[in-house]
Amino acid sequence: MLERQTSLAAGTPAGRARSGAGSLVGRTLLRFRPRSLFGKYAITIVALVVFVLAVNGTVEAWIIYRESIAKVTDAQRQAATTMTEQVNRLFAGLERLTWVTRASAVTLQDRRSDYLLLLKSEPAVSDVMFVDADGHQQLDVTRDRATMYADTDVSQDPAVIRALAQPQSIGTSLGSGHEPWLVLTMAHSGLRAGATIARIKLSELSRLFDDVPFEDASYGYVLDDTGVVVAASKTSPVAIGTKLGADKAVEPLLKDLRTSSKPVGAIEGHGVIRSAAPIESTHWTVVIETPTREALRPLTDFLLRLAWLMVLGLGLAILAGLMLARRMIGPIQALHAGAASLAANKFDHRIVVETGDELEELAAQFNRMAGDLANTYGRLEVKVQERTQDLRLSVRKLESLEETGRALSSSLDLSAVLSTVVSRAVALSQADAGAIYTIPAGGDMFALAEADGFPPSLRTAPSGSGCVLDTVGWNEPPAVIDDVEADSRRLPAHELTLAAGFRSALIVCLDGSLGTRAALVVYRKQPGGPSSWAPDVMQTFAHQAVLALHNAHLYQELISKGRQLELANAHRTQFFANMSHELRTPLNAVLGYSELLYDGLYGALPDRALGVLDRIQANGKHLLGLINDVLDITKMEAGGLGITVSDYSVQTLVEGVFAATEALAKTKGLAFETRVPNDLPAGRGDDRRLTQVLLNLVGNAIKFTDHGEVRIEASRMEDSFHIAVRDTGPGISADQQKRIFDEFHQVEDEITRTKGGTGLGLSISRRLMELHGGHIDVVSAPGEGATFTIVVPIRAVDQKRAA
Amino acid sequence: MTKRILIIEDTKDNRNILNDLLTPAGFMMFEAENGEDGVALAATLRPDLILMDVQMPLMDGYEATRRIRANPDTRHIPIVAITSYALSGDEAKAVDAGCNGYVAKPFSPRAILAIVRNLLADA
Repeated sequence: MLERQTSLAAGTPAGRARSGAGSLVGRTLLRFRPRSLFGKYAITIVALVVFVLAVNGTVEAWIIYRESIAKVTDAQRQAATTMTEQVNRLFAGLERLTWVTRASAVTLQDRRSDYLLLLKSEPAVSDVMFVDADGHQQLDVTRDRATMYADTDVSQDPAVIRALAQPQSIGTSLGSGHEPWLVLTMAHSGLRAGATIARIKLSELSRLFDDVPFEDASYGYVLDDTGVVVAASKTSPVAIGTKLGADKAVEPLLKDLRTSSKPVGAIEGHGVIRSAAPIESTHWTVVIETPTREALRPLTDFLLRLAWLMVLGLGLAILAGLMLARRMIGPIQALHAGAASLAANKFDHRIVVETGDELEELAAQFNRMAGDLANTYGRLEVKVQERTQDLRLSVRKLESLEETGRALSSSLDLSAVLSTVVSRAVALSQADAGAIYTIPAGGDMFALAEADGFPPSLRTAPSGSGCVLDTVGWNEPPAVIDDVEADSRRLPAHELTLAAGFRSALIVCLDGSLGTRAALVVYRKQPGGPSSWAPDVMQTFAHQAVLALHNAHLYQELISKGRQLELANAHRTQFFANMSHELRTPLNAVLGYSELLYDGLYGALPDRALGVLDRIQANGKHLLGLINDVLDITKMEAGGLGITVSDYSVQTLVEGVFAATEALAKTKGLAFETRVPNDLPAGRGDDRRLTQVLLNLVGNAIKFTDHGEVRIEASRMEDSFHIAVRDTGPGISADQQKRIFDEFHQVEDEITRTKGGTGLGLSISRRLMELHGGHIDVVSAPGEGATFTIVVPIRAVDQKRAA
Repeated sequence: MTKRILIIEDTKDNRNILNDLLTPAGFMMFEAENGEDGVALAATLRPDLILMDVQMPLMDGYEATRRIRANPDTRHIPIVAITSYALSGDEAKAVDAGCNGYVAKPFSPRAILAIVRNLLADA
């Protein structure tokens, strides 16, 4: 569609018109719909033409009908009048025959000669006869026969009767066996003179019609007073002798005919137009008829013509309608299509209308409008494209920066981040090379830390002092050297950089990133101004880079510190392990020897020496306890202490502790007892560690209690064992209760100082219980003794391993 | 018949104490200063009991125990481990290595004597 229109616009006017018209016809025929504008126009025009033709035809037909009728009746009247005159003239002629009735002819011979004379002068008369007063025929003279003299009685003949009765009469004789006659009677003057009867062939009367002018198919006949046809024209379908009068249906017609000449009635079923004229002398009637079909032939001819005319008119109207509609609608359709194209944003579409009228003007305006729109639209599009381009650029910058940020923060490996920073900076600034320089710890000059796109010569070159790197500061815009050769500022390793072919550079400070001064430089081999470097982007990039480098740097330091710490910790643990062994070995000897001494293996000793040995033993064991505690706590802090889970019996456990401490309690004079229900289930846990905890608690109770009792009570509460150690010692204040489980803490008062101890026992116990998933509660008040309760799950799981 | 006991122990004081304790008790005592010597001596002497210190340089007591157990001639000899201290977890390791009993350092000579007598009475 568009293609066609475009080619049209480029084509010659003639070509345009031709193809336009061709398409128009094609489209018109294809798109003919009665409801379309085109259809309405065409139908209206055709209807108008047909209506006009029909009205005109009807009126004219009516006029022609009237004229035809009038013309026929005129002609008929004329004919009837002529015929009447003819008959009258005939009768007038017959009047003259009366001379034969003269009385002077007394002999039959006279009469015969008169009659011969009559026949000679009146060709219509075919025979003449003489009848005497008695009704006897005396003489009969005919044209073709010889004169006959006979005395025949014809008195019964109606004509004879009439002839003898009236002086004159005219009648007809339709007797059978002979030709019908017109009978003329004339009475002879004188008494009983008889009468002459002349007979005239009725065909002679009919011949009178020959002189009557008939129009077309008209014909005439004459009716006598009784309604019998006595004469008829040659073309008449009514035969002579037919009695019309006998037909009752014709009676009023005949009556009517005598008074009127209106076309009425019908004969033998054929429609006719009829006129009549009376013959006064004989009461006959001349009737002229014309078949209606013939009479109205002009009308039917006209109607036929009209029909042809209407067909022709219809054809012409359709043709004209089509032409007109095409001429009208074509441009409108073109305008319509143009508007639709415009609505569809096809501004290059041009409407082709060459009607030379307002439509063409309208189309031209339309085209101008389309042109204006196209221009506006084009300008708008250019603007939109410019904006889009701007937007795309900034989006790309942002994306690039964002991606850079992601890449930078994706790693905490300092060397990887350094490398990423440089390569991203080169990519972002579309440079040829890039490098990061830092001032190493203890140095005062920038040195290359990382480079991308550098030749080997530059990788190892010293930066040299007094270069541009010293001039850039944190949070300042990047320094741009448009042309290295023309600029007074010096780049790091200036000469080598020039030799490597770098001509412009951008320098941005990265201070604060690596714990020392740092700068990023990107190089290009072409000179270029600041705008080509997009310093704002580079500054944003620098912020990201500093952050990433800073993180990586911190992380590196953290890792390094962590390693050192780990190592120190391992050293400490090892140290304590060694120390404890080293400390225990001599202690073992001290305790062993003293025991052997005490047991007298080296000979009997005095009592005082035994007492000293006892003190040596006690102090040695205390020292051993201290060493063990320190080793335990060290192991715990190093995370190396776990529990070994196995089945145990609370009863056995309590009994073991009781057995181990019973002697001590007895020595101090304390009541000491245990209460353990028999029905406690088997527990699961590290029984040796639990024993250690319980020993610690019971040992403390005995140690701090000077009077009263120490009691161990075990019970089960739901899923836990509760093992309580009660004493009637000095009690612990609420304030102190909070701290007694902390490392190296002891209740500080006169009593405890005399009791000694590392202060690690409760702390170790607490941790051991925590390893079992349990805890230690303490309920006490100063002066009211203390109750320490171990709460341990019946089925304990190693919390350290579980975690 | 006098029962023979082999002490494998790197600390001289400990060896002395055990000697001083067990000789008067009627046992014939033998000493080795390290694991390797101990294993060799055990094979030669085929003692009735071995007291094994677990914490020794060069070859520790566990390894020495395993070797003694690996030798068909010495496999049956009861071994009592002298572990570093009661809660060190050495006991389990000693039992795993094949020891018949253990005594934690610092050991009480009386306790050792009880264990030794107990083990040798069974034999």
